[in-house]
Amino acid sequence: MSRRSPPLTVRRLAAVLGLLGMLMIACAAVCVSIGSSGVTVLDALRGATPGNSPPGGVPVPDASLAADLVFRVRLPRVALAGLAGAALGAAGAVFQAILRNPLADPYILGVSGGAALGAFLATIAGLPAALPFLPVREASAFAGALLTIAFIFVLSSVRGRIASYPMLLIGVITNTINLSLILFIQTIVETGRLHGVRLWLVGTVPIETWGLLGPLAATLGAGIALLALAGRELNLLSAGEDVARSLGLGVERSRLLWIGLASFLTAAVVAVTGPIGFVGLIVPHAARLLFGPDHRLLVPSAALCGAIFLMAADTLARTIMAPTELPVGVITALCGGPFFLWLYRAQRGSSYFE
Amino acid sequence: MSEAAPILAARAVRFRYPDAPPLFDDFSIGINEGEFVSVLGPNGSGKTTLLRLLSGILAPEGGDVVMAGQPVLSLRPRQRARLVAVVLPESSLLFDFSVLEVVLMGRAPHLGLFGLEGPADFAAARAALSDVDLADHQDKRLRELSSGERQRALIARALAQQPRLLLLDEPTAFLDLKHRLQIYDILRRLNRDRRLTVVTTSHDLNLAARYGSRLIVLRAGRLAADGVPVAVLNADLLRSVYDTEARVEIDPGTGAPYVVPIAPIAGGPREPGQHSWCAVFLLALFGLSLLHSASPHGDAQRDCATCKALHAPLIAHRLETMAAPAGLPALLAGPRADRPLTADARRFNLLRAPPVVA
Repeated sequence: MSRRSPPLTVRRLAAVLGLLGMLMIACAAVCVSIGSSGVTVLDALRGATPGNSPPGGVPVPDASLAADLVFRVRLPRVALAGLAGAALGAAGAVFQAILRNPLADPYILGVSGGAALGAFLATIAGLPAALPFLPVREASAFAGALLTIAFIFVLSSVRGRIASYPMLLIGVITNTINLSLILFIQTIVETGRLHGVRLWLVGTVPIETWGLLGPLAATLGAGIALLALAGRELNLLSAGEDVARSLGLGVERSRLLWIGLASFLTAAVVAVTGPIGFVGLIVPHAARLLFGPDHRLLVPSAALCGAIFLMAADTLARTIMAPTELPVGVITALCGGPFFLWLYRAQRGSSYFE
Repeated sequence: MSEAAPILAARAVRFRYPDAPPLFDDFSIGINEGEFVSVLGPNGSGKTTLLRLLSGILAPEGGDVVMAGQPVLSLRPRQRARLVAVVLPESSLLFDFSVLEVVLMGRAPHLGLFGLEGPADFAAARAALSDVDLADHQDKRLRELSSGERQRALIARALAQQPRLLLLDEPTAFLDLKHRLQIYDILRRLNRDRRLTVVTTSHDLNLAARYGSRLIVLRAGRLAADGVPVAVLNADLLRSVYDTEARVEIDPGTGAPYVVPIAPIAGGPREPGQHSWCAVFLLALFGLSLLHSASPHGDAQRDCATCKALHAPLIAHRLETMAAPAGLPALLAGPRADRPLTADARRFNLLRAPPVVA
């Protein structure tokens, strides 16, 4: 017997999103409370030193330092992870609906490869070293990603219309070309010059980009809010182009708008964090298994689930082997994969994949 | 046909698919309010394309599609979707929506840009579901339904649009006898009780004739016949449009004509312009076979493999008829717009355009 999700009402929307929102805040509170010193968010709020530091942990001498540690050191990182996860989750849901492909993720159109190529080119050109106070790598990765998207949009449009399958194919091929160029660069350039960018390539939530957090948060927040409004059109588009058109949707405009916006958000995330894999693929599927396929609920809930998932994954990445930090992409795949397989098996009575 | 302005009309419509010969050239048709129209024609004759043009899913290259007095291109897509609903052969459903959710999508043209459905929308969707006798299935997944139920659910989605016209592309394809009748009964009920104008394409001539108030028969993008079923369906039409020998009789029970197919006409008519090289080749073969049969065969003539090999394509292509004195010049010269058809060419239906894959 399959799971039945009732049709969407305002009440159900508010209940699910409210619950997920509270879960996200709780998760953020836990994440900022975990670290090599035993300071928790409660200590910081109380303005008191922690009563107990963990064995082997670093004692924190006074209250203001505790607050600094929580709000200035950990919170930005957790916030960045949350924003990136939210954007990737929502974008993944959009890509899967518009490309009508359950294997689609935000990188499927080559955003990651384009960003990586941009970052690599800037690094071997010596730009980050020449301009140490500017976020050069991020800017060049962003530019690379946007150029790639523009390239794919232009190449896959026929008489002003963009068809999904050519777009998918061209995106995958472009990504392969970009990644091969990166391999080529890695082979011919000495390893030392590429250290920072290689770390970025596996996906990190970097410490040095806090200055970017404000503008990034504004961009991603606005973008995700807009994507959450795409749900009605995504429902129609997922039913097929002709059906969507017969139900009164301007298919070309809608597809271009939402794919463009999702790609833009992905580019902004990738530029800062590197291509963190798996979030954009798995989170929409998990949210769909839990809350049903209606995109008006799916897109915002995938955003919230993505935030929760990436915050937790990043916290794990920086703590389980502390002081060594694991690439967060490793955690997302190693924890997310088995979780998804379990969720899928638990729901196997449903006709989810047919 | 009444003299009132048709609710849906194609006016001098031209259309072609990319890299294909024109399918419709100067095609006009009018559908009146309250009609139950079945569009018939062989594969590739343009039925589906016509339905898509009339529904506004496809835009014509030239001419106009006029919907309730307004050119369809001047209507906003949402306005159009409130006038006309379309049931298309189902594409695979990617996500696991429930029946009610699918039917609620039909409310899209009535909703605000990002709005959720309100009580009125739920009421319309439930009414549409009970119109197609699926009220008990609303909480099932669409995938759990049988093909017949699924088709009815898609009709319910179209009804939830509360349109004035319902267009259906082969609504009974792949359905068994009972479900075909069910679908047509529902359509007739909607047509009679609500004065909903219904246009379907179909390959099922008998059902179309029994339920439709009007048949439109297409052949290669042209109107081959148009009228009430009794007037349209006859052996000549079936021969010339479907290449099929058939008998047409009147069913004493329903009073509707029905078709008893007898046999396909072998080979089928050819279009000379496309086939003149073929004709040259066949003439050469003909010559060879004459030479060959003049050579001594002895008793083995009947079983001569060369004779058979040479004759097989000739027989298959009915060179005898094609090479009839009046037909041959037309055949070799190919079709020309400025030259009227010879009676023979018309008789052998030589100028039929090649089938176009829609």
